[in-house]
Amino acid sequence: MAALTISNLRKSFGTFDALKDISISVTDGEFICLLGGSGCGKTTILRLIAGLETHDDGQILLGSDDLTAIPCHKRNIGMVFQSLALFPHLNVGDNVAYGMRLAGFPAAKITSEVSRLLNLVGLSGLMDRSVAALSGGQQQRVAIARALALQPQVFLMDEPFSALDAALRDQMQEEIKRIQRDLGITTFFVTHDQREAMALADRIVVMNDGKIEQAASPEELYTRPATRFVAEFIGINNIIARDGQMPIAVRPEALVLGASGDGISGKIMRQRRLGALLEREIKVGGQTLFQSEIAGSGVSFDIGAEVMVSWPDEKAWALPA
Amino acid sequence: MGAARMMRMPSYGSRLISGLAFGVMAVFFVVPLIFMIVVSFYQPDPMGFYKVDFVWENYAKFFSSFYYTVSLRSLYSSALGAVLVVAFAFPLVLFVSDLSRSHQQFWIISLLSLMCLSEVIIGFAWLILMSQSAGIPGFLEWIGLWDNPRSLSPSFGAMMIGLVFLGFSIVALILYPSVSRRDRSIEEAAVTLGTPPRLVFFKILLPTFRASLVPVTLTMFVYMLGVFVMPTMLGRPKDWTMTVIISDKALGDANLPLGAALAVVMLIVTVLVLIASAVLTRRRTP
Amino acid sequence: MRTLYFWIIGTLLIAPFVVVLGVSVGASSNIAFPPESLSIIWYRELLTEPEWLAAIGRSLLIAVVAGLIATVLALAINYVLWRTKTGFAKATFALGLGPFLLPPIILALGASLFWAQVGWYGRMEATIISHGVFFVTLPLVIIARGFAALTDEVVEAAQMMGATPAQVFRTVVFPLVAPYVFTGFALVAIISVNEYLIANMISGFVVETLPIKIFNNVRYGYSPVVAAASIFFVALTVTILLILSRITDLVALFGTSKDT
Repeated sequence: MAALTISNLRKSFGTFDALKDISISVTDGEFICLLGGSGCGKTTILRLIAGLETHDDGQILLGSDDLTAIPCHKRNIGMVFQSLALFPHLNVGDNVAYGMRLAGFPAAKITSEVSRLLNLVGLSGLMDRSVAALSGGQQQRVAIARALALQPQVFLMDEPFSALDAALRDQMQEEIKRIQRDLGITTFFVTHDQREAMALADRIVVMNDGKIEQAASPEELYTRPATRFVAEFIGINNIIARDGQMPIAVRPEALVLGASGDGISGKIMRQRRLGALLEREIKVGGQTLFQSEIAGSGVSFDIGAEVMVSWPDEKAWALPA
Repeated sequence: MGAARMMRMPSYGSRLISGLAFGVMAVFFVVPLIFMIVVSFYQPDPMGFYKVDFVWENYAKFFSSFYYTVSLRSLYSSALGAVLVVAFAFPLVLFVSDLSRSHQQFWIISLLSLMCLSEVIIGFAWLILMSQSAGIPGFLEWIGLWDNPRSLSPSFGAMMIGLVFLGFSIVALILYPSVSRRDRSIEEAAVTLGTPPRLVFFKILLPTFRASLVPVTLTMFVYMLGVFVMPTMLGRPKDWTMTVIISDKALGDANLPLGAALAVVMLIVTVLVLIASAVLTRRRTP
Repeated sequence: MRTLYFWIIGTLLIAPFVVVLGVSVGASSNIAFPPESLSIIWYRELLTEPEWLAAIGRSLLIAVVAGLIATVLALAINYVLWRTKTGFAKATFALGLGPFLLPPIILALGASLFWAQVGWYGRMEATIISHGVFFVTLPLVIIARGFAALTDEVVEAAQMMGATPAQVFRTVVFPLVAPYVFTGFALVAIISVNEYLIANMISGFVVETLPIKIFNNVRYGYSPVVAAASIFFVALTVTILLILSRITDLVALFGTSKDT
C-alpha cells in the first residue's frame, strides 16, 4: 500500500553534503517525526519525497513503485509548507479545491469534498472567507485541508506549527494526531522541537549532520538514547564520564541524593522549586549534574550542602563516545 | 534538479525574453544618451542640425558668464525648492499616516492625482490664480486689501510656488511608506522619558527620518533641475533655469550640439548627486 | 494645529483647480473668476472643435500604446528576474530604474537627437516608443511587488497538487500578478497623457498632444477653452485613479500595510 522505503539516499548541494546515506523503512499509516537542528537534512528528506528535489543516489520506494522517475506533480503526495504557501488570490474553498479542479473532478463532488475537508479540520462554514482574513491557526487548518484534498498516499509537514504560540501549538498537535489516526495516512513531520516530536510520533528519527542518529519510538528514545547527541538533544543532561569506560547517561529524575552512603560526592549549587517539582544543580568533580524530584519526596538540603549522588543501575546506560 | 529549482535555471525562453527587454532598454534609453554625448562634440550648423566633428567649443561656451549665471541660478532655485518641498510635505505625511485608513486612502488618491497631472495644467492653474482678473490679486481687491492689484506672475516667487506645488505630491508619496510604517512606540517612549510633545518632532522624528529625508531632498533637487514648464509659464526670463535654456538652444536656435553639451553637464551633475545620495543612504542603513 | 495644517495644505492643493473650474464654466471669453454667469460653451467648443478633438485623440492613442509597451517590458523584466535571479536580469531591472532618476530634459534631448538620426523625427511612433521606454520604471516597481508575493513555496504547493508548469502560470502566477500589471498600465497611461516636455521635443511641432496644445495656447494668448481642457484632464486622471482604487488597494500598494 503506502509503505515508504528509503534506502541509501544521498544528496549534496554543491560541496555541501545534505544527506549522507539515509535508510528508513516506514510502514503504512505510520507517523514519523524527523527531529534535528537546522541544516541536519530533515527538510531535504521531505523535499526528496515530495519530488521538489532529486536525489543523487539511492532509492525511494512508495509501496513497490520507484518514485525517482515520477515528477513532483504526478506523485500525489500532500504537503504542508513551513510558510503554509496558501494562494493569496483564492478564498478558503478555492484553496482546498485547487488540486481537485486541476484533476478535473466534477463540480458537485468538489463542493462536497471541500465541505467534508473543512469539517475535518474544524473550519466548516468558512468556505467563502479570504485566506488573509483568517487567524494563524485557521490558516494552518486550510493548509492541512488543502494538502489532504487529493487523498495523498503520503502526508508531509515541514515545521508547520513553528509560527504559532504555545497553547495553539498544543491544540494543533492534538488535532493533527487525531486527523492522522482517522485517515490512517503515512505521515512525515519535520520539527526541531523534541517535545513536539514526542507528542506526535509513532517513531522519531533524530538526525544530525545529514545522518540518522537514531530511529526509535518516543519511549525508547527517551529511556535508551543510542548516542550522546540524541541524549543531549532530547534533554538528558547528565552524561557522566568514567575513567577507561564508556560514559553513562542518567535522567535527572533517576538521581537519588543522600546525606551519606554510597555514590559519588557532590555539592548542591542551586535549587529551585517549580510547582510540584524540585530541581537541583549538583557539582560533581568538574561537572554539573541535574537532579529533579517531586518536592517533599526526598531529604531536603540547603544550598552548599555536601551530598552523595547515586542511581539505580537499571536507570543508567552506557553511551558510545 | 527538482521542479522548483528547475524554474531557476535560465531556460532558452527566459534568456530570449531577458535579451529582448535589455535590448529595448539599451536601444531606446542608453543609445540616445550616448548619442547625445557624441553630438555634444559636433559642430553646430545653422543650416542643418550639426556637422560631424570633434570640438570642445560647445563645452567652452558653458564656461561663459551667461551659462555660469544660468547654472548657478538653476542650482539655487532647485536647492531652495527641494528644501521647501520636503519641509512642507514631511509634516503632512506624518499627520496623514495617523489618520484612519479611509482618510489615508483619500489623501493617497489626491496626491497620486496631483503627481500624475501635467505640469502644463498645474502651471496654467497657478497662472490664473495669480492673474489680476481671476485670482488672488482680484480677491484681495474685492475684500479691500489691495487697491491697485496687478498680476503676481511672472516672478521668481510665482515660479517657486509652481515648483514646490509640483514636487509636493512626489515627495509625499515617496516618504509615505517609511513614515506610515514607523515604530510609533519610539515617540511614545520619548514622551514617557520627558520629551515635551511639541518637541518630539524635532528631537525624535527629524533625526529618525534623516536617512529618508536627505536622499529625498537630493532626488527633488535633481527633479527640479529638469522642470521646464514652471519657469517658462510663471518665471521671468531672468529666472529661467538650465532646462529652459537647453530646450531653447535645441529647438529655438537649432544649436543642437550646444544643447547637447549643456545636457551632458546636467547629466554629470545628476549622476554626482545620485551617487552622493546612494552613499548617504548606504552609510545610514546598518 | 494638525487640523489647521491639513486645511492650509488642502486648500493650497485644490485652490488652483477651483479657479480653473470657475473660469471654464464662465460665459465670458475673458478669464474671470468668480464667473459672472455660468455656461458650458467652452466645453462644447473643446469637444466639437476638430483641432481640440484631434489633440485629445492623439494623446489617448499615445497613452494607451505607450502604456502597453511599458507594461509588457516591465512584466518581461520582472518575470525573468523572478524565474532566473541572474545578474543579467538584475542589471536589466536596474537599467529600467534609470529613466526615473534623470531629469526629463536629458531624456527628451537624447531621444530627439536619436529619432532625428533614425529618421523618425516628428513621427508619432517615436513619441510612443520613447514614452513607453521612459515610463517603464513605475510598472517595473509595482509589478515587482506582485512577484514578491509569489514565493517558491506557493509555486511548489501548486506543483504538489498536480499542476504542470503551464498550469502553474495560468492558475497561480498570472492571477497573482495581474492586478499589479493593470495598475502599472493605468499609471503609465495617465502619466503619458499628461506629459509635455518629451512629447514636445520629439515631435511636438507635428504631433500636437493635448498638453502641447494647452501650453501653446497659454503662451500665445489663451481663451477659457484651455480651462475646460484642463478640467477635462483633471477629471480623466482622477476618474481613472478612483477606478483603480476599486480594483487594487492603492494604500497597500504604496507600502503601508501595517500587518506585514
